[in-house]
Amino acid sequence: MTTPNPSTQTTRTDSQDHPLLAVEGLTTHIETEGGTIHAVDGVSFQVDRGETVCIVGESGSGKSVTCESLTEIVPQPPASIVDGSIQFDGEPLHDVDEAFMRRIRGNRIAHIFQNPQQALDPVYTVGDQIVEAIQIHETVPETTARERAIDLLRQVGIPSASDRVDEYPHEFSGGMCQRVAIAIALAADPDLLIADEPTTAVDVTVQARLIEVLRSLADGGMSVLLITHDLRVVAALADRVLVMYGGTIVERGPVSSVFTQPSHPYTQALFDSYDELSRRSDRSARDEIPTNGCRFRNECPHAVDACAEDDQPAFHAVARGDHSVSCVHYGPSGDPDAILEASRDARPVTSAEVTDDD
Amino acid sequence: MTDADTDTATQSRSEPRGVEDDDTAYEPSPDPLLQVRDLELHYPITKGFLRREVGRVRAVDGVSFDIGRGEALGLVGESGSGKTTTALSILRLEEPTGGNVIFDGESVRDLAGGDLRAFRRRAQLIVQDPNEAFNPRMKVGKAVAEPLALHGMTDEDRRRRIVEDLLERVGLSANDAGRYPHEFSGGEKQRIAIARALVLNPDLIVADEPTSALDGRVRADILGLLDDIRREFDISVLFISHDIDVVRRFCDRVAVMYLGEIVEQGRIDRVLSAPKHPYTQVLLGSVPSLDPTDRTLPSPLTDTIPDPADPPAGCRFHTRCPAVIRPEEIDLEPEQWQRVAAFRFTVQAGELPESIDITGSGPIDESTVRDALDLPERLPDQGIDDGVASAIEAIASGELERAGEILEEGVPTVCEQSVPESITVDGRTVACHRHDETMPGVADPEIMKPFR
Amino acid sequence: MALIDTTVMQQDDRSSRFEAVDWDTVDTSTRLWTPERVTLLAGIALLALLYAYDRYVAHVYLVADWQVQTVDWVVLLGSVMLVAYVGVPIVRYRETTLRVLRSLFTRPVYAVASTLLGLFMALGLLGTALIGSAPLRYDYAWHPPVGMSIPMAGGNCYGEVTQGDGVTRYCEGTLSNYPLGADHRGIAMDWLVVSGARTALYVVIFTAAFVVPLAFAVGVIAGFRGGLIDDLLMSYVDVQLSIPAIIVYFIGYMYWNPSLLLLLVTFGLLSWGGIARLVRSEVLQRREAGFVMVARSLGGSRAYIARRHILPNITNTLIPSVFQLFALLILVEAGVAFLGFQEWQAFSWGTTIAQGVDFEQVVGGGRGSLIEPHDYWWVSTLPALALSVTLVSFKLVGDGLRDALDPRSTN
Ligand code: SF4
Ligand code: SF4
Repeated sequence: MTTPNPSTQTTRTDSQDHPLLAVEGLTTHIETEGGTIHAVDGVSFQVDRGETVCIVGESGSGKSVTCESLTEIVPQPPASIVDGSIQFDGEPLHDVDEAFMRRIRGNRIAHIFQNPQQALDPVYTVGDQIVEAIQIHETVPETTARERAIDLLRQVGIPSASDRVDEYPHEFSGGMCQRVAIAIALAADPDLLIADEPTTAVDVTVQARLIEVLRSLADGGMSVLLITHDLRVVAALADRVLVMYGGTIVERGPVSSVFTQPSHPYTQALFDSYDELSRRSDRSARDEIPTNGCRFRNECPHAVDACAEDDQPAFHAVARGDHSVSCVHYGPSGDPDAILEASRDARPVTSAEVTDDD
Repeated sequence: MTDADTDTATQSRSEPRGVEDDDTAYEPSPDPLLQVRDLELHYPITKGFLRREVGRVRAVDGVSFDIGRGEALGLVGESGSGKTTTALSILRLEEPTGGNVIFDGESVRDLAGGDLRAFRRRAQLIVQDPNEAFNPRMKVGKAVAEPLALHGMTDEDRRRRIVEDLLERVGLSANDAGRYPHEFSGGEKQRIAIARALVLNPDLIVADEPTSALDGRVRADILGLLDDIRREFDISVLFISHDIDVVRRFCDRVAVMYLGEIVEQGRIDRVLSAPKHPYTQVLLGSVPSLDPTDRTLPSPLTDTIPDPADPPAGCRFHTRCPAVIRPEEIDLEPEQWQRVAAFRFTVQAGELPESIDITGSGPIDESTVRDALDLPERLPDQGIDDGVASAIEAIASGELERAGEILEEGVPTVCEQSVPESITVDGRTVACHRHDETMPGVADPEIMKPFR
Repeated sequence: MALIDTTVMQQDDRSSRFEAVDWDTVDTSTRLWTPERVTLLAGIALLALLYAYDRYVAHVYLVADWQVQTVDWVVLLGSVMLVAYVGVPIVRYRETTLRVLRSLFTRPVYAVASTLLGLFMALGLLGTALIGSAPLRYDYAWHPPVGMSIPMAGGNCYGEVTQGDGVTRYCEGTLSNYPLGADHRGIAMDWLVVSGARTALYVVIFTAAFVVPLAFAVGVIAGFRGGLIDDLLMSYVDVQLSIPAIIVYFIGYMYWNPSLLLLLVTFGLLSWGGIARLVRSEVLQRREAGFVMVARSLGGSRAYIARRHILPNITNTLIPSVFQLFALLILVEAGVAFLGFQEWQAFSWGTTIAQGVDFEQVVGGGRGSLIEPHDYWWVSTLPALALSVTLVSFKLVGDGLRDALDPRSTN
């Protein structure tokens, strides 16, 4: 086994010598009538074993396309993965044949989506669907598979699992459907669960239960890559956070650090939208997001000329070493104080703490 | 009831009173724009070709509230709580089966002819999904002008003038009028929807989840726009949402709905910072904190929302209420009581946890049941202990229904016996026996955390 | 038109909150005299006058040698309705019409189909008027079209006559007379094709004016009202869909003479169930849509919402199926006529085709040669060609219109 090329992340102690998932420079374009959209533009991150990583961003930030590119479930065309390397458990996932990818999908990396009803087939019982998912990946007798199905339903907190296993998806509420979808995703005992806005379509009380289910999976050692626009869900689940804007990661770090000191102006804007009513009606949604430099510069109150340079501002550490941000003001020549002052929970950062990471 | 018991009860009920009382009392506006009184909408459940009525879904069941002039009232609750149906009945898009809606002194039900048309102008609707808020075959200029045309303004130039002005006010440009809805983003469409709602100079806007299809800053922008507009033009808003964050930022007052009823209602700062109704507490507590170190989430006793065609007797929340009232003759610690109540309602809702699946193979022993339900080996109250033991026995032998009956009899609560009246507590109205000092039984101190 | 200076308005205070409208002064009475209604009434009045003239003044012929029959009156009434509710809006909303036409004509296949369909309509409408009536001239039976020759069957020939074996003489076609040949009665093929187009157009007009609106109305009412009305209407549709129209037609045929009207009524009025169902399900899908709720909250009536918000949005499924129905009923009419259960005076394409494949005939006396259908192929082929081209055009134009009407596909 080889260690993947050192990423921009600081090294973490790990029982194994490589992270479960390491993504380097992932770039996915989508062709539309209006031209090419740089949906994902050079995204790098890692997910360790047993870790929950959240990608947070607004719709159109590229967070879903990033995750759909990992196992190539993003429809190609119109999308095309043009660059990047993906190492899963030390083996490359890019440039592999379809059969290999199919084995990885579901077997080792499972997906769940925002709308569970779409993932469930209305004409089969949920039991049949879980059994099917089990048997695709493993040859086990029907009865064993069925028992496993009931176990899985219990694991995701469906009461009276052995009765409900024979019910159809329409007999389940939205939150229960999402649990069934998780059960199906767990059928092959994957190493990584990719959950795309899994709690967006449900009520808060149901969301609370789903959060508990996801938490118990993470506690059980599964790695979770969670995509959401809701900072509250991030706070409730994440170990580490990646903030995405315009196809790039703009800030990343441990959840505690990012939430106590959001440092990128975009992250701060996201937090602002949870606070008082924003009165910035001058923000125009029609502005094109640039495809180089800092993608946020058209909306950034701190933008300077240097923001338009290069591909993307380098990542610089903030406060604690693992928390870094892609903004020129955090560089050696920049002065982040003005930005940090605007932060909702700005705490003084000594210049000694601001070290160049790249 | 012994003196000591009464004392505890009184004390615990009036316990969380941190704020001064004088200016906080819930004061309805003296001349509200909208008064909703005992609104009721039951859908018949029919069977067969002759549509014989076999039951009724109590979608809205006796809802009352006022909205003052220029005030924004948030109506929150889970899906199925009846909040959208309430809104539609107010606008007479659904025919209520009971109660009354009074708009500016006149009963909406009795409006006809020109008065009804005037009401239709003065009360406007913004719907949830911006993608289906517009007829895809109609240019947005036409869509925004539609209310004018429908109300008889035949002068096309005048209509265009008004529409172009409005589009600019909501942050779009006048020549957007000639484009089709699909050419706009979700946030832009919601701006156009706001323009359309404003075109008739309304006094009331009913906004049904206007931001729930949007996220992040777009949501904040739309909310800000709506807020500017309502303040500028002094428009009352009925704001329906399941998103408490949004309601907190936008509304002056909030009403919390559960199963067709309003359980708590009052000023936003009061209700959200110190909720009094256990349901409000569960609802608010379920919103994850923005502080990643605070990851506790409250759980109701059971997860199943009861069927609105057959709502629970007494307080509708009692099957899930973690603060359900203990009869004074039952002598248990608060936590023990909560476990026992949870046991009862879990069994009755058929929500037995994974480890005691009675339909599974093999017999279940009683300690497994106790473990799974977090019930102690022995309970200090002899009667309860016996009841629980025989219920567990019934479960162990697979007789779930009998276990339910045993528990229903052995674990009674005043919450299922009488319907709580709305009473004013600490600047808001609450429909919960915990706050009604005339109710027998012991309201144990709340085991809830407040909303941040 | 002077635009209000919006920047000034924004700075103004509340009193100038956009344009204050004093609704008491706005005329709220809905307009009674829409151009559509005026046209409809005028058309009906004209028709009534014509009818009275036909009944009481003129005798056999209304104009020239047109013997107006019941079916003609029905179709005339249908035409008046179509002019009022299709023709007038087309003119009124010229811009939309032009946009739709433009996008229809951007795809060559739809452009060709639309042109052919236009030609068919023009022929059906004006053809008979232009080329007049066709006398029976058995002596020119099977006169060949230009460039063809055939053993002479009738006694006469406009072209050159050549001598063949024995007594057989060949007749050559000419361009000036019978350019497309003639049938066994000596009726010119061009006339027959045009007459067939007229019959087919009758079918289309009847369907468009009576059948489609009925289907729409039933579908919209069932979908909107729901409940018992929906149950009743849809059960009726179920029953109706299980009645074979052809049996009803044959029963009618036993009691009355074969007639185009009987055919139109039986097939037309028994074939709308499918479209009604389709409309209903589309209405059901859309009646809870946001824009419908908003229109209702504004006080829009059911009819208004159906017309303004529902129908324009179900054209995607509806237009193709309506055009399919046109094509189907044209084909049914031709089929029934082909089987011989249609009055031959209607000169349906089906009748002509049947006659073109039916006759074997010995010409030129006892030792003459036998001529067979393939010898006079034009009698069957020309109307068959016209029929096929019409059917294909209807289907294509249906699809083309669907795309052209969808603003999402044209942008
Ligand atoms: S790099 Fe420039 S534009 Fe980007 S966030 Fe930093 S200051 Fe703003
Ligand atoms: S009345 Fe009883 S069950 Fe209902 S909310 Fe209050 S304490 Fe809970």
